[in-house]
Amino acid sequence: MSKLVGAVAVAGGGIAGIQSAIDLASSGLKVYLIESSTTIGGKMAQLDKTFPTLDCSMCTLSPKLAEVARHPNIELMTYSEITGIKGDPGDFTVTVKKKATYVDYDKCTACELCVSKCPVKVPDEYNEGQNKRKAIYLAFPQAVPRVFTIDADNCLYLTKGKCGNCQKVCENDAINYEDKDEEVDINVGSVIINTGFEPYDASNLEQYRIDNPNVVTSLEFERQLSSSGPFEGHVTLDDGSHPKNIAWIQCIGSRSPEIGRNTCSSVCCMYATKEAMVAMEHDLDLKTTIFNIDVRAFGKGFEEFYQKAKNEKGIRFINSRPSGVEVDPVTDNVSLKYEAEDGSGIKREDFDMVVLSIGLTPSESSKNLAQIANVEMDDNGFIKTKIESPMETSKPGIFVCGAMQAPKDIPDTVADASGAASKASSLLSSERGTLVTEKEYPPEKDIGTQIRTGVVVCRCGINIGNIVDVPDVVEYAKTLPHVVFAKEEVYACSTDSLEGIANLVEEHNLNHMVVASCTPRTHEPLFRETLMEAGLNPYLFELANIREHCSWVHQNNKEEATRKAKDIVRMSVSRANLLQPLYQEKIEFNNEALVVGGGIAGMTAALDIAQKDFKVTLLEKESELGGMMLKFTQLQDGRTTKEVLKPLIQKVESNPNITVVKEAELTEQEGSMGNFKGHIKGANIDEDIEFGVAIIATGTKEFEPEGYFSYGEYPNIITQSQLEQKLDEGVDAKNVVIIQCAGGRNDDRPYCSRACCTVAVKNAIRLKESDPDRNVTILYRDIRTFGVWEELYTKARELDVIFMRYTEDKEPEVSEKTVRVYDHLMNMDFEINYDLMVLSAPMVTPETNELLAPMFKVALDSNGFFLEAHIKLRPVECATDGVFLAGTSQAPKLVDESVSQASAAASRACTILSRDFLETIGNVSVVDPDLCIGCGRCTTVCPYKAPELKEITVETEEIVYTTKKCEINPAICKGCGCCAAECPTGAITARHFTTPQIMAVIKAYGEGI
Amino acid sequence: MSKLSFFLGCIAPNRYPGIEAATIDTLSRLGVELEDLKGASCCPAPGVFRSFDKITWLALASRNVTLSEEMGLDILTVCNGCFGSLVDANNLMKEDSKLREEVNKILAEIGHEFKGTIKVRHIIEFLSQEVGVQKIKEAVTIPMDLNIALHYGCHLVKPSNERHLGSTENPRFFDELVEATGATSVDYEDKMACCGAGGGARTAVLDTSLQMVSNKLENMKAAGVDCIIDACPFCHLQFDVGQTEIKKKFDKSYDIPVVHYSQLLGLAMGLPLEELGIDQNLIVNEEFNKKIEKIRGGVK
Amino acid sequence: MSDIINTSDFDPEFRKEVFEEPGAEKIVLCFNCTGCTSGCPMADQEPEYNIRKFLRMANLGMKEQLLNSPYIWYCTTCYKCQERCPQGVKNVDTMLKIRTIAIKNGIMLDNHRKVSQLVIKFGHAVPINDDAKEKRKAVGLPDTPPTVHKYEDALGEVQKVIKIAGFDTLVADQEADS
Repeated sequence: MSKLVGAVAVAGGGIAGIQSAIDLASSGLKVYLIESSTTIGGKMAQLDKTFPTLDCSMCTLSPKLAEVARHPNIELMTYSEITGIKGDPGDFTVTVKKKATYVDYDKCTACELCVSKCPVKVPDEYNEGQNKRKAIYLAFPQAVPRVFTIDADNCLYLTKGKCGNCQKVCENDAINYEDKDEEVDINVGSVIINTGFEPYDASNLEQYRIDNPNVVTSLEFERQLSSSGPFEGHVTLDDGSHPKNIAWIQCIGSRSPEIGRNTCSSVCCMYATKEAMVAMEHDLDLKTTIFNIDVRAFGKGFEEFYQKAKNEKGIRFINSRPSGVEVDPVTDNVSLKYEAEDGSGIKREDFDMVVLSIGLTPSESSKNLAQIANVEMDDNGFIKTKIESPMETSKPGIFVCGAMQAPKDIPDTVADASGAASKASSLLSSERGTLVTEKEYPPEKDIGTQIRTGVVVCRCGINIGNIVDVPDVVEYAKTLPHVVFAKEEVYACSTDSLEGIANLVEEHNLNHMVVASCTPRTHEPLFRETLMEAGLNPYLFELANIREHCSWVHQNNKEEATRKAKDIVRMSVSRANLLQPLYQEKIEFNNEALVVGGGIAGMTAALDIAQKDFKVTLLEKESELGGMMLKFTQLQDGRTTKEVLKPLIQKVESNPNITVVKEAELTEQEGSMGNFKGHIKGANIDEDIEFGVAIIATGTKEFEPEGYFSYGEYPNIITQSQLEQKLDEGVDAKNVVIIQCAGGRNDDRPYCSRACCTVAVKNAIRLKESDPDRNVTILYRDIRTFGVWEELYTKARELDVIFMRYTEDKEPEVSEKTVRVYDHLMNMDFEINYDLMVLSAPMVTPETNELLAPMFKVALDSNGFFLEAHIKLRPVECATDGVFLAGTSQAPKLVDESVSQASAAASRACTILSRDFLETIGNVSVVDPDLCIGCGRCTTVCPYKAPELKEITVETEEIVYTTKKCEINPAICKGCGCCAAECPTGAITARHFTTPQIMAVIKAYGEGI
Repeated sequence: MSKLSFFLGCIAPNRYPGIEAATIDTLSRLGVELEDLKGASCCPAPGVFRSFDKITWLALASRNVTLSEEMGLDILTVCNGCFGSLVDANNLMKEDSKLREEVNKILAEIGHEFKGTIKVRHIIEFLSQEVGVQKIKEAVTIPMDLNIALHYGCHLVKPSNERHLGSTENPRFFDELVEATGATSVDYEDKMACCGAGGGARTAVLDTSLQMVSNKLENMKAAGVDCIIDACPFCHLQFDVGQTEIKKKFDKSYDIPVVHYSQLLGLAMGLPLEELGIDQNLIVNEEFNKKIEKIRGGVK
Repeated sequence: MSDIINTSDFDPEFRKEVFEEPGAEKIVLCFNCTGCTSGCPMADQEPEYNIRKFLRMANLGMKEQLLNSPYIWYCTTCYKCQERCPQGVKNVDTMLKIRTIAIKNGIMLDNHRKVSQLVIKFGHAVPINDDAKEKRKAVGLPDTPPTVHKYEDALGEVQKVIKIAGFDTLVADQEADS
C-alpha cells in the first residue's frame, strides 16, 4: 500500500449512507456522499412513523439531513451514479456520472415559482405514484440539497423544444437547458456501498390484485398515513371515502423460492403492526387484521409492541395467509378467504382496503454497482459477507452496510453504517484530518444592551398548521415585549428555512431567537447551529414546543390549541429575552478506551479502536476471552466457533495497543466523558484506571429454564448450549424434541431473545446431518428465522425436521419420555416419544449489570438490558456521554449483529477519541463562593457527582479560617439544575435556567389566566 | 391447409355431439382439416385414472397418442380434460426414459410403439397461436352481439410449468378468441374458478361438486350474461346437466345456456343451427334462442 | 381433536411410498402459510377437506388416518393450490399419489369402480347410448363415433392393455366381506 488517501466514497444516500458519512466526516475524513436520486433520505424519508416507538420518521431523519448539508467535510453528489471503481485499498479512483439537473445548484433558491408554471404532471415517486408532481420538482420539502431538478424524460422543452416556462419565470436565472451529464473522477482511500433495497413489485403476483384500486402496497400505505402524503394523513379509498376495515397480507415477495425470493425481509411483520397501530390512532373506529405465517417481532421492544398491538389495541393477528385477493368486478370490492385457526373451515371477509406487505429486494442498480465494484453477491442478490466481518465485502477496501447486505430495519442499519465507517476509516487512520476543512463560524457579535428578539412559528407541514392558527400566533408574537420581528415557516428545519433564519438575524439585527415548533430533543441543536452561523451565541435560542405540547395533543380543539400556543410562545419569549451568551470550556481529556467484557463484541470493539491507534484496556471477568461464544460450537454458516474465535483472540492478545485484563471486574467508577476514573479488581490486579470512553460489552448468559417444560426433573432435558457441546462430542439420541420460547415471551421475560429460532434450526440441521434417521421435532410459537436465516429454516425442512406449532395458552406437557403437544396447525393432539429434549431458553442479563449500570449512570430497561440513547438512531450510545454499548448487553442478537454493533460502538467512541480537546456544555451550574455555606446538600442530589466540597482557606480582614466551599466540575456537570434547586442560600446558579428566567416564564404564564 | 387428427374423447361424441360437428365444420372453414383418429378410446380421464393407476393411465393415453403418431399428425382435442391427460402423458413419455420403456413394453403387446413424434393441441390454444385472431375475425360473417361468461376451466392453462400458456390468474387468449366473434367477455367474480367436476369429484361427491358449480353460476348471473362459453365438454356437462340437478336438489334456477367455443364460432360463421346442436342441451333458455335468431337475422 | 396420536404410530414406509411420485417429496417444504386451503374452491364447500392438513399427514406418515379419510376423494385437481404455493409443493400430484396408494390398499369408492369398469367394458368412461346416437344423427354425424365404439379391434387393444396392467383386478367390485 503505497498511497493512502484521507477520503471515503459512500454510495447511497439513505439512512445508512447518511450515518456512515456523518461518522466518517466527524472523525477527520473527507466524504463524498453519492446518491442517484435528487435528494438524500432514501426509504426512511418515505416512512410515516417508525416502530417500535412510533417516532415520526422525518423528524428523526431531518436533523441528520441537515447535519449532512452543513458538514464541511461532506461533499454531496446527488443525482449521480458510480460508473467505475479502479485501484487498491487506500487509493481508489471512483468515476462518478453527475446527471444533468438543468438547474443551477448555486442559483436556485427553491422559491417554487417554476413549479407553479410547469404544465407537465407525472406520477410522484415519493408518494408512490398516488399523486402527481411536475416535471420540475423537489422530491419532498426537507430535501437535501434543497434545489429543484428537471426530469428530462418528461420535460416538454427537453423532449420537444416546447414550453420553457420555468426559465421564463425564474428570477435567479437558475434554469439551464444546456446542462450536460458530467463524469468526474474522485480519489478516495476506501469505499462504502449502501444502496439499500427496492420494494418487491407486487404486480408479479397477479393473484394479489395490486391492479385493484383498493389494494395497495405497504409503502403506498405509509405515504397515505403521512401528513405530508397525498391525502394529508387520511387513508383514502378510490371513491374518496375512508376505510373502516383494513387487512394486511404478510410475506408478499418474501419467503418464496418459487419467485426467487428465498429470504425473509425482516421488517414487514413489524411495519404492518405499526401501520395498523398508527391507522387506528387516526381513526378510532378502524378495524385492522394482519394475516401472517409467523409473526417476526424479534428485535428490542418488538415482542412487547406486538403483544400491545394484539391485546390492548385489538389488532387481529390471524395465522393464515390468503393465497390471493378476491375482487367483485361489478363493485370492485375486495375480500379475503382464509383458514380459520380453530379448524372450522374457510372464512371469507370483506375489507375496504388490503395492504400488501411487500418485501425488501436488492435493486437492479445495487446489482450493477456490485458488478462495477467487482464485489461478490450471494444467491439472493445481496452482498456476500462473513459472519465475523459483516461489513467487509469480497474486495478489500470496499465495505457494505444496510439493506444492501441483507434485509434489516433502521436501528440495525444505523449500527451497521457506523460499523462500516469504522472499518473504512481504520484503513486510513494515518490520513485523518488531511483533506478536511474545519467548520468556520463568523465571529460572535456583540449583542449590545437592547434586547431584539425574533420569533419564527413553524407549521410543520400540517402537523401544527392544521390545528393551530399559525398566522394568528405570528401576529400575537409581534405584540410581545422585545419582539421586533415574527414570521411563519412551513418547515423551519428545512435547509432553506434555516438559512432564512440566519438571514433574519442579520437583517433585523436580532440578538435572541425563538422558534415555535417541535421538540428540542431532536431540533434544538439544529437551530443553535444556525444561530452560530449567523454570528450569535447558540444559547440565545429558545425552542417553544407547540407540537408535542400542543397541536398533537389537542387535535380536536383548534381554538383552545391556538390559545395555548400563544401562551407557550409568550412564556418562551419572556425567557428568551433574558437568555445570556454562554460558552463552552475546553478540557483536556484522556483518549484511551475501556472495554468491559471480552466476548465477541468486546474484542471486536477493542480491536477496531486499537487499529485507529488508540490504547484500549479490555476487561474480562472470566479466565479466558470469548464470552458466550465459548459455549456454542457452530455458527449458522457451518463453521465452528473456534475457527472464528481463535484468530480473533490471537489478534487481540497480540495487539500492542490493547491491554487484556482477565479475571477482573470494574468495582468503582466516576467521572465524565473524557475523564473517567475507575478501579479494577481481580485475581491478579487491584489498581486504578483512567479512560476517556467506555464500551459496555458485558453480554448475557443463557437462562436456566427451571420450572419450564420439566427442566431439571429429568436428566435428558438440556438447553441449547448444552446441546452445542454434545453435538461436538456426538449425540446418539434417536428422537430429539426441541421446544422454543422456553422461559421467554411470557410475563416474567416478555421479550423475544431473537437468536433462539436460528440457533435451534441450525442445531436441528446438525442433528439430522449427523444421523439422517434421527427424528427431530421442533415445537414452536413463531419461527423467527428472519432475514437470510430463513434459508436455514428451509434447509431444516428439506432435511425432514418436523415443525409443530403450539400456542401460549396450550403449552406442551413434558413427561419423562414423552411430550404431549396440541398442534395448532393440525388441530390435533400428538404425543411424541423423545430420548433427548432441548429447550431453547432466552438470553438473560447477568446480575452484575445492576452494579455496572449505576456506576456509569446508565439505565437498564425492564428486562435488565442496558438502555440506549435512542432505539432507532442512536442504538450503540447511552444517554450518558462517552459510554457505548456493544453486543448482547444492549439486547439479544446473533454473532454478526454483535460484530457490526461493536464496530459501530468503536466508531462512535472514536469520534470522541479523535478530537484534540473536549468541550463542556455551556449551561453548567456555578457556585458563588460568597454565598456558599459548605452544607454539601448539592452533593447529595447531583446524579453525576459534579459538585465537590473543597477545603479552602478564607482570608478576611479580621480572621483567617478554613472552610468547605462547593465547586462544580464543569466537565461533569450536565446542567440539570438539581443542585441549584436544593441550595438553601441560592449560591448556585443553573446557567440558562436562572431564577429570573424561570420566574419570568411563570409570570408570563400568569398573564394568561 | 393444416391437418390434425381429431381426438374426440367421451363426452363430446357421446353426449354433446354438436361440439364435434361444429368443430369439424368451423375448423375446415379456417383451413384446418381434421382426420378421424380411428380407434381412439377414453383419454383416459385424468382426474380418475391418473390417480387410480399411473401405468394404466399412461399406457392408455400413450396408445391414443401412438394412433396419431402412426398417422403422422398432431392431435387436436376440444376438451381440457383430454388435453391435460394427453399432453401430460406425451411429455412424460418423452422425458422419462424408464417410464417410456415400461409403457412401450405393454404397447408392444398390442402392436404399437410410442415414438414421441407428435404434439397434442387444444382447439383454443391452437386457434390462438396457429390460426390467429385476425383470421377468425375475417371468417366471422355474423358478429355475435352477446355478453358471455367465459370459463377457461382448469386443465387448459394449469399446471403452468407444463402448459406454458402464460398467466393462470388472468389469461387473455381465450377472451380474445371470443371477442373475435363479436361477443363481449364479461368479467365476473372468481372467473378462473374450477367447475367442480374434475378429479373424480363429480362422480364421488355429486352434491358438493354441484355446490361448487352453483357458486360459479351465481357469480356469472350477478355479472349479467347471455350464456356460458367453455372449451371442455366435462365442464360443459357440469354446467348443463348440473343446472338441472341443482334445480332438483337445491331448488335454484340460473337458466344460463351453455355453449362450447366451437359452437359459438359456428354461430358466428353462419353455420346451420341443427348442426351446432345447442338445442340439444338440457338447459334451454327461450330468450337466448330468440336473441340468437335475431342476431343471425333469421338465418337458421 | 379428541384422540391423541402417538408419533411412533407414524408409518415412514408410507411416507417413502408417497415420495415415489416425482415432486411429492417437496411436501417437506410446506411452512403452513395455509394459502392452498385458503384458496381451495372445494375447501370453501367442505371444511373437512383440507389439502394442507392431508399433505402434512402424508409427511408425518399418518397412513391409516389419511387413507381412510373420505375427504381425500374431494379434490377436483384444479391445480390452483399448486400454482400459488410459494414453496413449490406439488399439492395435486401428491394428492393423486395418495389416492393411488389408497386404491392399492383396496380403498376405492364404488362410483369410481363403476366408471373404471365402464372403460374396461366399453373403452369410454362415458359410453354412447341410444339417445346420444339420435343426437349425433340430428347434427349430421354418423351415429357411432370413429372411436373404440366403432372399431372392435381397438377396444380389444384397450382391454388387453388393462389386463396387462392389472387394472381390471384393481378396480373389480369388492367381496362383501372384505
